[in-house]
Order: sequence, then C-alpha cells, then structure tokens
Amino acid sequence: MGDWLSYSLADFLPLSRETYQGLFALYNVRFSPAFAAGLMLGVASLGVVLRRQATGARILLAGFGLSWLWIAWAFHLQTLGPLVWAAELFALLFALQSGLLLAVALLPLQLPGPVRPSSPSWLGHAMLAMAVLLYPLAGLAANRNFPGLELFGTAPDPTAVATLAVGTLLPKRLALLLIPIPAFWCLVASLLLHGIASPLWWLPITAMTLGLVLNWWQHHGGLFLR
Amino acid sequence: MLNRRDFVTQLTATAAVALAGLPLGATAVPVLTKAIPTSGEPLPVIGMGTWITFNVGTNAAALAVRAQILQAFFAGGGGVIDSSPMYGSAEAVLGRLLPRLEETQGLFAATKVWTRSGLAGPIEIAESRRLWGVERFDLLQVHNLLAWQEHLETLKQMRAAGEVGHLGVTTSHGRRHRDLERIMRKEPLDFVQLTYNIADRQAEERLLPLAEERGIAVIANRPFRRKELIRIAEPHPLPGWAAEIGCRTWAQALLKFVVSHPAVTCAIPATSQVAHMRENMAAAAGPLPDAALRQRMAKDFAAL
Repeated sequence: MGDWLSYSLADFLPLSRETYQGLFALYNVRFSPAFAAGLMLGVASLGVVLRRQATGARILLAGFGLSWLWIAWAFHLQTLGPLVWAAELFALLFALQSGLLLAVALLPLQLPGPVRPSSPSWLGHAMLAMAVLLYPLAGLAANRNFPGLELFGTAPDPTAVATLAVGTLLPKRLALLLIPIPAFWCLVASLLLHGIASPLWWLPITAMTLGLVLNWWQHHGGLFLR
Repeated sequence: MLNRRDFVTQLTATAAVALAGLPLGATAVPVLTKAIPTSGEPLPVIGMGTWITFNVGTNAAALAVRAQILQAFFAGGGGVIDSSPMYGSAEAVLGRLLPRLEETQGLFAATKVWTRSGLAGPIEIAESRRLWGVERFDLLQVHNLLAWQEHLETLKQMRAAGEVGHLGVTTSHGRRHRDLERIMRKEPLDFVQLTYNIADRQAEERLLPLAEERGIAVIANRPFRRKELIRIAEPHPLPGWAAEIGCRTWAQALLKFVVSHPAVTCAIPATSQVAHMRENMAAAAGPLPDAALRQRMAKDFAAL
C-alpha cells in the first residue's frame, strides 16, 4: 500500500502535454469531416433544446449518442490508443454512454415530455451553449492553435460537458441514467490534464461540478440554491 | 578524483566513437564504458530512456526531432536504448526511426515485458521485436517486477536458446527494493534497473553492493528525477569541482555522479531535445569523480 501511495498521477501518463495537444491537431486534420459535423450537431442541438419538442429531444439524444460512439472509436481507439494503454478502457466507457443515449433516443420507450422551464434548465441551456461554442476556445488561452482545439462532437471533454448540460433538460430518471459517465469522464479528464501539467486542468472538473449542481437543482426542486 | 590512468584501468575506454555528426576536424573522444559482469560486453555509461519522450505516435514534426536525438545519441557513442510496451508508441517510434539512421553501431536494444499474464509474455516480446524491427533484444527485463516469476522463466529459456542477450528485472522510484533484493539473491540476473541519482541514494545501502557482489549490471533510471533535479540545481552556479571532472553543466555533473558509482553500469536519461542529448552524451567522456568527490557533490547538491 505504501508503494502505491508513493506514485503520482504523472507516473501513469506516458505522454507529454505537447504530445497530447499535438494529437488533437492530427486528429482534427485526419477526420476533418467529422470535425465539421460535430460543430453542426452542436449548433443544431442548441436550436433543438430551445424548441422543447419530444421529437427534437430524440434527435438530439441520437446525435449525442453517435458523437460518443465516434469519439470511442476515432479518438480513443484510433488516436489516443497507440499512445496510452488506458485509452481502450476510455473507449469502452464512451461506447457504453453511446449505447445509453441511443437506447433512450431510439427504443420505443415512453419518453416523457420536456421538463418545466426553470432557472436551472435555462442555466443548462447556457452551459450547453458554452460547451459547444466557448469551451473549445479555452484552448486558445492555453496557447493552442486553432487546428488543435477540442471541439464538441469529436473531442471527449466538451462533449461530456454538453451531455451534462443536456441532463438538466431531461426528466430526472433519464438524467440519472445519462449523466454519471459524462461526470466521471470530466473527473478523469481533469486528472489527466493535471498529470501532464496542462494549465486548463481545472476546466473539466469545474464544468462537472457546475453540471451536477444544476442537475441536482433541476431535479430536486431547488434543494440547493433556493 | 580518478586520474586518467586509474580511469583507463577501471573502465574500458573505447575509441569507437561514431564520427557521424561530429564537425569536421573534431577529435573523437573516448567514450567511457563499463563491462556487463556476466558477458564482459562493454556498455557506454550513458544510454537513453524513452519514457514519455518517444511516445509521439505519428506526429511528423516530433518524429523528425526524435530522429535527430537518436543521431546525436549514436554520434556521441551511445549504446543502451531502453523502452517498454508500457511506453505507448515509443517502441514503434524507435522501429520507425532506427532504420533511417546512417549510424546505429553500438546499439544495445533493451526493452521490457509488461503483462500480468505469464502466457502472454512471449507474445508481447514478439510484438516488441516486430515494433523495434530487431531480430533479438540485447536485454529483456521484467517491468516493475510484474509477474516476475513467470516472465523470468520465459527469459531464462530465451537466453539459453540465444534468443535474447541478457535478462533482468526493473523497478523505479525506489519501490519494492526488498522484493528486488530477494530476486537478486535468488535469480541468475544479468541486469537490474532501479532509480539512482544524487538525491535518491537508497540503493547505495543494499542493492548496489549486492549487485557488485553478485556480478549484476545496474541500469540507473531517473538520473534527473525527470527534470526535478536539474530545476533545483540550474539556478545555482556550478561548483569548482565540476571543471575537475570535465562538466560544463549541472546535467553532466548529475550524470557523472550516477555512473561513477562502481556498481552502476549505465544511466538512461530521457530527453525530447537534441541539445540535451548532446549535453548528456558529453558526460560519457572525461574523468569521473572518485568516492571523496562523490560525497562532496552529494553534500553540495543537498545544500542547494
């Protein structure tokens, strides 16, 4: 046990910050059509949540499900996998979340109507907009070039944050089903970024905290922040 | 401090410095080597690690820099290149770059077996051979003592069949020294790899004397504790003794401290910068500190 406590997170990360960031530039170039599709899906999802229709919600969840599946294969397995052995586990996690999203979207389940408009749901809208539009730009503040930015739909972190935001717009049972993995990923992402000394390591865990608080507020009638 | 004659008698000074990469008119400086006790094969005292630094995948710009690093390594008379299946794409990067180099003479290819399954060991080793593009490894080590009983049996059979030059086990960060000591006493090892540097000297107490006693070569990893020791030292001017052992930088002094221990065969610093590789390789030449100077170096460093 004493041996294990002597390890730091960086001891398990076999790549440097430069390499990790460089991966996104290569990834975005290699899969540039997906890069554009992810952005379009993100912008479309903003429109869908504003319309507040059940059909739109199914389409949105299906789109998110496909994004998670894409990231599992293209990013974790194809791009990160050759550099980090744990990427296979990450891919499994993302595939599982994809399955959950697609199941909710496609199976003939009784999909409850949209939740009542409330402060947290509007904050959820704002969080979704931030995940799609602003989160990628945070990379610029960390001296990353535009081709290497992490974008919604193709990069794991903004996609997880956006999915957390969508939880505030869903009924409680669905939110409970769909937000644990995105929240867990945000935690993993922050640990990973901290391990490679990224100045933005705090971003995913802050978004996770915000997303969980908003979900709790929305689904528990304002126990917090009343 | 060792004088030149002592140094030559204690170490095999090989003049087989690769001239590739040296400026015209440059004089080849003999590279310090130490013999592997079990085989007598001389090894340059400065090798290189690949943890993090060579895990760059297919990034063309990063690969070009790694090619230059390898070129500088061989030009400086380097020998041991140490990697592991745990290091992501590092083995594949080596396999991609080594054939492109004009000069790889002296390469001592060392990797590890890193799997919990004894049965999977040979499969992983075969994959490492394929990735590196080598017919056989000069050294195979059990990574961090993972499933070491099973893997050592495999490695012993491979060594007996001539499928690997040497075998060993590794640990790092000063962990599992008691287990390592037990294995060193019991098993016919050619090499052990452990963490040893001017700030992490626990190995001096039992493991290094035991390695000398048992005739086991020692590879010292983390000679700079990643970059931490250099960050501590660099703001301070080099003490006067640095010039006595031919060191122009703290990195060279830290490396010479490590490889001057009689039991240490070589150190394996890792770098992602060509200039740092040249600086490291310069520590493979010139005089080494004697026991008295080593004590002084450790004391001076602790006072920084």
